[in-house]
Amino acid sequence: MRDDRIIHLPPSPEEQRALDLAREALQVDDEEVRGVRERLERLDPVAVQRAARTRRRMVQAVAAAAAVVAALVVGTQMTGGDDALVQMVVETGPAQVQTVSPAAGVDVAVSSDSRVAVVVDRQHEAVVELRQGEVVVDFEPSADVSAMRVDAGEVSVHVVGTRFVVNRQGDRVSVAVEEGTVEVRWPGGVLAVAQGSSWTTGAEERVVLAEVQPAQPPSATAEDDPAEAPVAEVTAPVAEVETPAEPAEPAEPGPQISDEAVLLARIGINRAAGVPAADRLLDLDRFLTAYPDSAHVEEVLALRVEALAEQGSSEQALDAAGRFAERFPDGTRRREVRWIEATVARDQLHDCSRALPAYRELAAEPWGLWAEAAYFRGICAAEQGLDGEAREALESALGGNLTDAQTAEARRVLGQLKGS
Amino acid sequence: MAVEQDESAWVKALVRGDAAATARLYDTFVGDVLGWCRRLGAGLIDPEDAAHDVFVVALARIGSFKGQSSMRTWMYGVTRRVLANHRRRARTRLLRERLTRRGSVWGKDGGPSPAQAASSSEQRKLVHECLEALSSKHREVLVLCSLEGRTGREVAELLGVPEATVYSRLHYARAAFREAAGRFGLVPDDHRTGNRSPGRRGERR
Repeated sequence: MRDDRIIHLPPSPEEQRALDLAREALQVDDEEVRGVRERLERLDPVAVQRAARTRRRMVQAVAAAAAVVAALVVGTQMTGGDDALVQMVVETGPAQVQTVSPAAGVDVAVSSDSRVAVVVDRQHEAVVELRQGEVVVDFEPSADVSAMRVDAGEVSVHVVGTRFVVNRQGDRVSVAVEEGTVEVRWPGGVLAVAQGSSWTTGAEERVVLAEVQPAQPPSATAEDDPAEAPVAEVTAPVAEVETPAEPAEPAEPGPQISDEAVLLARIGINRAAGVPAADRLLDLDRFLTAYPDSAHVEEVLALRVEALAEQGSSEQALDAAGRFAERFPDGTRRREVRWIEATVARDQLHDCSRALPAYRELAAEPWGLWAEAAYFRGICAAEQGLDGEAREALESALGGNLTDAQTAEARRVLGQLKGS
Repeated sequence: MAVEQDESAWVKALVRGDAAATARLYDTFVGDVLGWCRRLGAGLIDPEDAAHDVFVVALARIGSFKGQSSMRTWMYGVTRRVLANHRRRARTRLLRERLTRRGSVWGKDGGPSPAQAASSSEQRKLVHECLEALSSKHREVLVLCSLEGRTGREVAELLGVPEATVYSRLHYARAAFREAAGRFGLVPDDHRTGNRSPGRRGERR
């Protein structure tokens, strides 16, 4: 029941109409309530509480708060297993990337279109079961979690303390190690894969070794026949597959992951996962230092402009955009970088005079955002007192694809300009 | 007193993971929580996902409920925090999309979710634009008082502020909402009073 005291003045008919519209637009119908209620039925309250208690015990106060939030990323559910202290299931859609931190020192970024179960058991081992897709794992042993492994079908990757990527597409599994060493186990053998190396199973269940520099001695099986280690060990087939006669020349090896690709993948995943711009900049700069002639430099430079803008380093972003334009005057990312440049000048520096040249250029080109560029050209021109240009740009923008708010604003400003 | 005792027993049962108590929690608050998520989420978030998360957090934190407020107030507090997180993530995403052609430049993480797309009816979009023009405190009071029809006392309890503060905020919230409703074309623009320059207006997209 409404308390009339909270109404200072009776609403005017227009205000009442606006409130009625808002009430109507934002109402929740019974079907939506039932939908959420049904989703909640699938929650296990005991497991949720146990996971929360475990989490509180396992991490320090600040980290715990962050971890709980991380576990609540859409699509993540926590359940309980008999031996598990923490268990999560993460499924990502086509455009989703999620990062979960089931315990201190364990960060798992789950790429799009992936299915992963994460368990921390009572033996202080974290296990990531990769059912499909890709994970980037960053693990640092701690008192809470002393060991870690990733299971991808029949392949199991045991971690000593490292950062690595595991990709699984059906039976094909690739492992690329960026830091430290991992031990890859599969039904046919065991191999240590060191920093800078990668390893891939073939589509025909043949295992292919690429530039492996084992930091650990080969497995006991390999020591039995040193002449065959490590290649023979690696190429040992699963039970029903015939061993290739010439293991030195494996036929049709599966795709292998280079260091450059690992770093690039991490840049992409961290960006999609919302990692702070400052952290992403470290990787971007590392990439540019390590691979100055890479085919991906243009992409990385463009991402660098974006990251600088995102962290609010406006002038640096504009400088970087200028350098990008000098180096790639006809680059495929030219318009995007120019767009960022204009946005930074207008939104962050509130300097329409610096934004206007970019908007003029972008509004004159036949591309997806020409109308928005024309709109902002008009707004900036109006602010600069360039009424003629503003009118022309806004009228042009109204013929394109603007948001409702932009359309309303363009009409309002045009009205003011015509009235002035 | 009886109510307090009932709530205390209820909370103890929730801490034990009692199924009936959990079902009661869902049944009592699912409508309210979903409504809060819809009305305060500003069209940036998926209200159903947010509501789900609110209950996950509530179950995880129920042990910290000390009975110093009503369960409804506590649930509202949980909803506020969850919404703040969802909104922050959404804003980060939108900032990036805005910087990079709405996410279509580098492909993977752009575009509205199906739920967002479904909620993007013209009227709802306009209403959300109007509500986003208000400060968070004003928006909250307008939603709870004017859209949900709660009493000043109820809202004061939910927000943990004096009743007079609710009235004061509501006064400013209504004025801001009237102005936004005219400016964004939710209703005929009879209330526009601003004399801001085109450029300043243009900064609000």
